[in-house]
Amino acid sequence: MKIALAVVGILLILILGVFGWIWSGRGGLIDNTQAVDEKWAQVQNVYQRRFDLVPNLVASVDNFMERQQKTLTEVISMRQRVIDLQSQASSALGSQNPRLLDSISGVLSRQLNSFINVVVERYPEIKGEQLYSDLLVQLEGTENRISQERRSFNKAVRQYNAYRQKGLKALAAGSLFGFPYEKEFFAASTEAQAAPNVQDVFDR
Amino acid sequence: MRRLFIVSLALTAALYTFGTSYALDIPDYTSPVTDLTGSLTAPEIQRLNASISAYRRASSIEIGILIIPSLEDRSLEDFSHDVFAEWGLGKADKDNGVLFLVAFKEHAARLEVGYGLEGDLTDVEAGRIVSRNSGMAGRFRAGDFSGGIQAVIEGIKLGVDGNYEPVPEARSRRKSRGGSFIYIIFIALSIAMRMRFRGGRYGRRGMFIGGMGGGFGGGGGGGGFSFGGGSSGGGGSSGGW
Repeated sequence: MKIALAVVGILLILILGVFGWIWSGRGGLIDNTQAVDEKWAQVQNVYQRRFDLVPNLVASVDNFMERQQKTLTEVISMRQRVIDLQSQASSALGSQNPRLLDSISGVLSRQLNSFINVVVERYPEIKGEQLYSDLLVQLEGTENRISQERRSFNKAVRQYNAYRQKGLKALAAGSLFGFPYEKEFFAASTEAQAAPNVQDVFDR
Repeated sequence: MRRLFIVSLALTAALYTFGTSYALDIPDYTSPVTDLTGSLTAPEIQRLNASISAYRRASSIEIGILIIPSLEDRSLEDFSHDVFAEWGLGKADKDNGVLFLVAFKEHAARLEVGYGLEGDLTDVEAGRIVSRNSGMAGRFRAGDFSGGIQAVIEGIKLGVDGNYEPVPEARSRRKSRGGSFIYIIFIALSIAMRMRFRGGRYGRRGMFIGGMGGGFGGGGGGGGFSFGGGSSGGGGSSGGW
């Protein structure tokens, strides 16, 4: 009787021990699953960032270029008007008074130059170059964030898979508590397998 | 039998060491500045370390600088992200670290910005600090690596505080020319020094020895230096010279 009780006791302790051991495997699996989920959420976060940011960026650059175009046409038409005035003056005065013609041309040129200066002063950022390179930097940064977060996600998936499949503890806990045997890595879309043809992109 | 065992053991060990030396390893750090190329002299490293440490005390922002001989076909962005993750720049709860990575052979540089600083030090600002027409690039081209790195550190400070506006190269050059004669002598001296040490520095092995020396020299002041465990997510920008 006493022996039977002892055996039952030992068995109970053993079962409890094994169960505790498996339970700790469940904890590890939960940690790993959480890591994978968090990394995926971070991928989603940078996707959202791109979705919000890029249209705004492009719109602001577009807006600037439009304004610059307007300024440019203004300057060109002004210059044309000065040339017209000069030729009118020269046909009216002919060769009778070359010195007066000279001074009129001088005045007109100075006026034109000061006008252009005013335009440039009012739009100090007349150079669109910097804007374009800034835009490129931001697009690059956006894509790089996505790429890095995907890499982190893949790393978390690799850790989960290794943990789930390697040890006896996690194997037992995984099948007992229904954790997936394998989580999928990030897979690029089928269209992304081919290198884009740059010429096509420019033609569009 | 025993000899066979020893030989096979040695072979295995050799295989393991070869296996690990293929990949571009993430180096250990002993101070904010880690130079594996010997481009910086020990006093230069000390000065940069002091400047970074002072900024860290004032703002808790952790700047790390790594100069490697070559990327060995790895992507600059991937490698700098990995180094950032391994080193853990910035406080763990603030993620306020910045890594400045320089790849010598490729003439490539990258400023990797931690999560917590992405709002203050934007990609555009980072891009201006390390772009090919930045103050950094001009100094690097002239062989003044310490000055280039100092310019990057100042750029980071300005970027974090408010707005980093690039100083056009031509203007800054004119200023320095008008400034002092000593500057020119200093540059000539540093070039002469560089030429003298070229033989030992640019060989592969020589580079490594130079790097070790620099590391120890820099780490002498701050025993047990470590970064705070922050992380980054691909923020920042790449450039070069």
